[in-house]
Amino acid sequence: MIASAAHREFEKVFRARADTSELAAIRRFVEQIALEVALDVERIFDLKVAVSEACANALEHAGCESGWLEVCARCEGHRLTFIITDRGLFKPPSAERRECPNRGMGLPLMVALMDEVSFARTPGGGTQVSLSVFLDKDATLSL
Amino acid sequence: MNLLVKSETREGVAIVQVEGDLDVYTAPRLREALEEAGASGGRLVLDLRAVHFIDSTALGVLVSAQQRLRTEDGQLSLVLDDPYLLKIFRITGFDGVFPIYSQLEEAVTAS
Repeated sequence: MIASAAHREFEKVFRARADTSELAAIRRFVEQIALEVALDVERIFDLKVAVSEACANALEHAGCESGWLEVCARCEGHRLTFIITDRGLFKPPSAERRECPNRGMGLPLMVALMDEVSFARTPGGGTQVSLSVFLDKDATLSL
Repeated sequence: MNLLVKSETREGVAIVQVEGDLDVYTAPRLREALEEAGASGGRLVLDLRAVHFIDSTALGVLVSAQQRLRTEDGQLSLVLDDPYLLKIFRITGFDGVFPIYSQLEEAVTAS
């Protein structure tokens, strides 16, 4: 029997301390979700890079004043989306960032690796980044 | 997750081998390792064969190290064979910033 894993619908939230040391754990969450919808190794890698970049941006620029960073994984129809929301105020680039003039590749990477990227302001003045991959291409799972 | 770093010198070439994820959290450790190994300028080979994740901050560290070494007539070469990691270098255009080899011996000989 062939069933499309993409037809599953679910939403899972991973809550991590707002610290860059948590990025590896966030990437493991991404991998676990991507495996659940039977994405291939390359797509899993793409998602890990894109979500990690979005989370690093949230931690670095916007701050996470609640002390927590939430990553929401939503699977609906033929789309898997990771939503990263921060609630903090925008902070100017840090001294450390100025030492790294070649940063700034995070957004181009997200756009290049994902099927769809969108940004929205949240009512609280935070930023929400949505990173989607379409599951049609490779999410057919043999049961 | 920690970054494991091993440094040695072979045939006058400084070799830094790293294992783990290269991201905004481990980037300071990477920068430190490259600064130590390349302190006297010259040829530096960074072995990334045990690295399977890299983000834009770590890429920035590599590009900064290359810029610094080149002002001293040195060069940073990379060894990597992970196709997905290579893809990140291609997307960002940084594959043109470093000589990239798939074998360590090849990189040391060419350096």
